[in-house]
Amino acid sequence: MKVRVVYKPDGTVAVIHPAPKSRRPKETEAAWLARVFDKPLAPVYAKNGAGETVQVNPLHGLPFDDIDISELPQTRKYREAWRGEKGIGIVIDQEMKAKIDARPSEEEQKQIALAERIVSLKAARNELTGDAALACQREIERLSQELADA
Amino acid sequence: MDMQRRTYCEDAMALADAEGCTPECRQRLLNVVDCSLGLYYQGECLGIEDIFALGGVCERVIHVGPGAEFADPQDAFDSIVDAAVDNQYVVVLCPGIYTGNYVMPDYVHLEAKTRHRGACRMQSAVGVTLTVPVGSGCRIEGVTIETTGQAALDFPAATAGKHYHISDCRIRGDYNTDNENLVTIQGDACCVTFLNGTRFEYYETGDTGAANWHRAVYVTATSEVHFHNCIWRMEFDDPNGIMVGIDAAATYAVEWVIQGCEAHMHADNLLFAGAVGFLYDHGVGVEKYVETNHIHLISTKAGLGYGVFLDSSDNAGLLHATANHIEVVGFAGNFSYHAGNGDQICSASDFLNCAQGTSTAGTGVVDLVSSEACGELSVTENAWIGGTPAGVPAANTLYRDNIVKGWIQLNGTGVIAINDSFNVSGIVDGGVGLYTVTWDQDFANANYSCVATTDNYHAVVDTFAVGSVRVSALDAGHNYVDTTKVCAVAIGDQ
Repeated sequence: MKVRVVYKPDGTVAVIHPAPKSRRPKETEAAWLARVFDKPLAPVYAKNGAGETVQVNPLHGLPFDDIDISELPQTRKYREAWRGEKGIGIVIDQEMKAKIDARPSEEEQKQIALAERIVSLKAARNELTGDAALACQREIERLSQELADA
Repeated sequence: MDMQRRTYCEDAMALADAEGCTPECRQRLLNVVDCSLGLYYQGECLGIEDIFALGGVCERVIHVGPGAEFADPQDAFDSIVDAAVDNQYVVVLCPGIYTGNYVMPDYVHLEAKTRHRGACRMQSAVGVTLTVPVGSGCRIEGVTIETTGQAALDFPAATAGKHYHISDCRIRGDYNTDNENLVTIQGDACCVTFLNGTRFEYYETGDTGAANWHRAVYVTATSEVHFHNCIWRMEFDDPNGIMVGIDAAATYAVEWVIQGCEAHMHADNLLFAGAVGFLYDHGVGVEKYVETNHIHLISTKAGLGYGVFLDSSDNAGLLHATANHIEVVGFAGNFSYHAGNGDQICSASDFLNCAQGTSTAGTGVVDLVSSEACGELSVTENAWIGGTPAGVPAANTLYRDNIVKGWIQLNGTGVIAINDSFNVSGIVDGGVGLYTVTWDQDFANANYSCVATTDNYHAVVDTFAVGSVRVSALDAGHNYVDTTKVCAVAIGDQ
């Protein structure tokens, strides 16, 4: 199946995927794809050449390539690093790829979030008394155990 | 040859031999046997006595017309004094116009000498044009029966239990009066079959009274009425009245079989209270079959009145509507299958084309109405729901505003895959966790509702437009994230 890769002015790309069920009986593939690919999106506000704010279709008039879906990168891990240019296709921006690789993993992010939550609860506990302080302490212990398990 | 037919044919030939019938007479009898077996639905056939009564054995023939034995049909009818089940007569009308109120005696049949349309015409301006025999069944073939007054053809109450075949006839009324019925059937257990291109022509031009009824066939008895390959041509100029192809009065259990017929019903100057309907069945109980008919209900005064295909209004009937082609054009009100109290209408493979008459709508309304609590409705083909609540929405009721208009489930990991969808032309992958769903059929405005969810994260819906909406998947830290299940559902005006 074909998809359309649209190259944005900032070098990033959008990819239009047709819904298989949207093809009408007896409609040629070319007519179907043209209908889907040319569907206008919600207009956005942008500055024109004269500096005026106008509504524009975000993908209208941009360069594109229609490619087979198998030619897309097979993982989206580096989706933020997808860049492209008409005739060249999608390439991975190595600088952005390095940034992505340097990011903590999702599991690490969860652990960091847990630790931050525990710290904030401990600060709050010092302001509380009675049952509220007790409940806060129990939550700290539960999250600490969860962090230890992770 | 199936066993039942063979038995009937053998019985018929045995009787023909006993009577010393001519070859022509034997063939006529076989034709009647074939015809009768073919006409009755689901294996219900005439008894052999009924067949003899309809077909006669060796009928005596009397001609009516210029230079014939009689000049007037009634004189011919009155001359017959010895008709009986085994001594039947056929009165043959030669081409001509015969004016009067004619009453057929028992065991007499009526045929046109020529089938050229309108060549053999019986007509009247006052009273019933032709009354069928009440003490026996009969057949009437090829005759044009016209009226400008009351009924053209009448089956009185005394026809109870008798069988009638009306074949290739033209039954016409040109009315400018109130509440006229072209054909009236009043005999209990009477079985009337109209067939072979019999035409019901009803032209109403002068009646302007409110809520008058104009019926081509009106049944006021518990009876069976079958139509096979018949034609209705009805034109109607009554702003407030109701024009109906077939109607049964309330409380009568009429078994309808309507197959292979064609109806053109045309209304001019209809006002809001007026209506045009093909079958108004106010009778009780029994099953009815409406199959493979072509029905065209047309109003020239767009935006007013009602057009109705089937109205089963009252009483616990089961109406089978199958493979009909229905076109309703120009009315303000809805084309309907209208199921009354306890009714069930089973519509299978009906083709519906209903254009509403307002200039702005452009598309039709199929009104699937169950007006009473017990009604059930089953539609196997697509239904277009156009209704909006007039006030507080009725409980458990389908309106145009409460139908899901589009949905999608996609896998946002790896190479994006749309797992399934409805009314979605595609998606735009705008980046990690960012999917713009484009609708195949746009919404009327951007004020529709759309909800989305994912399998592991929360979703945000924004950037509403008539043709698209953006769905984002975000993790607990509000970072965009790809995930394996992203779902969205939208409801709103289209």
